Amino acid sequence: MHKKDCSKMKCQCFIVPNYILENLAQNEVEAARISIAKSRQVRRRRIMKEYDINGVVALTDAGSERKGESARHVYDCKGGTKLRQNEARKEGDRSSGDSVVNHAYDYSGVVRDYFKDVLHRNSIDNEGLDLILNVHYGDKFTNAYWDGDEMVFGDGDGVIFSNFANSLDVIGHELTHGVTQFTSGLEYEGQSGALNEHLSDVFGVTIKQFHLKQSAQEADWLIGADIMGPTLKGQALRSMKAPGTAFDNKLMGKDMQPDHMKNFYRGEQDNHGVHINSGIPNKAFYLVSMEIGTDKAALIWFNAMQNLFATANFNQFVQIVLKAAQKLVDSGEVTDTAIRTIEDAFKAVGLPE
Amino acid sequence: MHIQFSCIGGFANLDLNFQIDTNELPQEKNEELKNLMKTADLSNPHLSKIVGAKSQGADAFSYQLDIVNEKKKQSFSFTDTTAPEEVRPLLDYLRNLAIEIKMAE
Ligand SMILES: [Zn+2]
Ligand SMILES: [Zn+2]
Repeated sequence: MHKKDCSKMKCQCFIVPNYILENLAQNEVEAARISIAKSRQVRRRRIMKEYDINGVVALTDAGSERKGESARHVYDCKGGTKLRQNEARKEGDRSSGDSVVNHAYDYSGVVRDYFKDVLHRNSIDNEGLDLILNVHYGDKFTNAYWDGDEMVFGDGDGVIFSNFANSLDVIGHELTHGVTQFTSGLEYEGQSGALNEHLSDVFGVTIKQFHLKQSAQEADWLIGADIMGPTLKGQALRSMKAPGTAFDNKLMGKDMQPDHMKNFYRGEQDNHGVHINSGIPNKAFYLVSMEIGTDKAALIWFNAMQNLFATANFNQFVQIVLKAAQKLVDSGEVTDTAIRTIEDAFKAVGLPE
Repeated sequence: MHIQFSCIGGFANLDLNFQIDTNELPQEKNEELKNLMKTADLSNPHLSKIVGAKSQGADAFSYQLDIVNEKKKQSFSFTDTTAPEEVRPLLDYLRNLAIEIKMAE
């Protein structure tokens, strides 16, 4: 089936546009240019918000267009809904008296350092953008989100969910949304949205495994296990190993993530299932990691991430992951059996269609 | 006054919704809700511009709020990123009420 804006002459539905596959070098230059432009935009938006908040343009590092040092800034919303109100801990500050502030600070440091040391990416924008984390947002706020410039974490209701900032995979997930915004800018809707969610889950679990020095075999492959409230210990928000089995409780109902294209969610809720259909590529990533190790799988996915485009669908993603893997095989960073492993893993979840 | 509310999606992909007649609420809750609605300034015309605004970022909740009284029906949709500051405490309150109602079912 073709999308409505897709003529047969220039079908965009299955095949990755040639300029992306055949002109990688050119594409990387272009990607770098776009990334710098986006970086300026976020820095400006941050100043504008500062203006909204304080009525004056504060002379913070957010205003600088120089390369940043990816400094962390943790703000305490104190149960309110204004962002960047009370800075509770900034880069280099001593530990705060608030364990939630400290978790946000420590875990965002782990995520930033993983991207820098392992994947050689300098923060969200690859230009050392400062990391802004707002904690204790709202009244029993049962969510964490990336607002396009900064991260926001609620305390949870204390029954079903505990604090959303007390989890390395949640912070890894949110920060990765920033990286995605600066690379492919995957649209947050339908299949491209599910890929956006997938990439955030991938780096959330990968960074947690790296930090805990766990192998793919030892890891639990759960997202959000640390933020489940006291009555729901053992449950989580998503399972990459067994999508659809992470939770079953009164508030959330039963986990409805599919692990195969035959159960693809076609409803319109959740931006057409961005947190639901991510189960399909999540399972494929798990299968690949079990064969070649999570570190190698993550390296391939990270390279693929930079060659994706905003409207990429699942089929196109498979092609781009394979292309990225082939490049890493050619450079000797990944063994050549990885190609077959990836093909088999995607086949196991019904991809490509 | 009749209120229909939903809060959908977010990091945990929740699906919360309820509809109530505010008269059914205990008086204290009814008062609190009225105050929050006053603060939210829902009759402010600039809110209608926000309804169609594109949500930035990722993992934001989507809120839908319909209010019906004798005179009129008002419909609003917000996300965590598009909701104006004045409306956020009301959304907090309604979301917590939705959780309370769902857990009591
Ligand atoms: Zn087509
Ligand atoms: Zn997300």
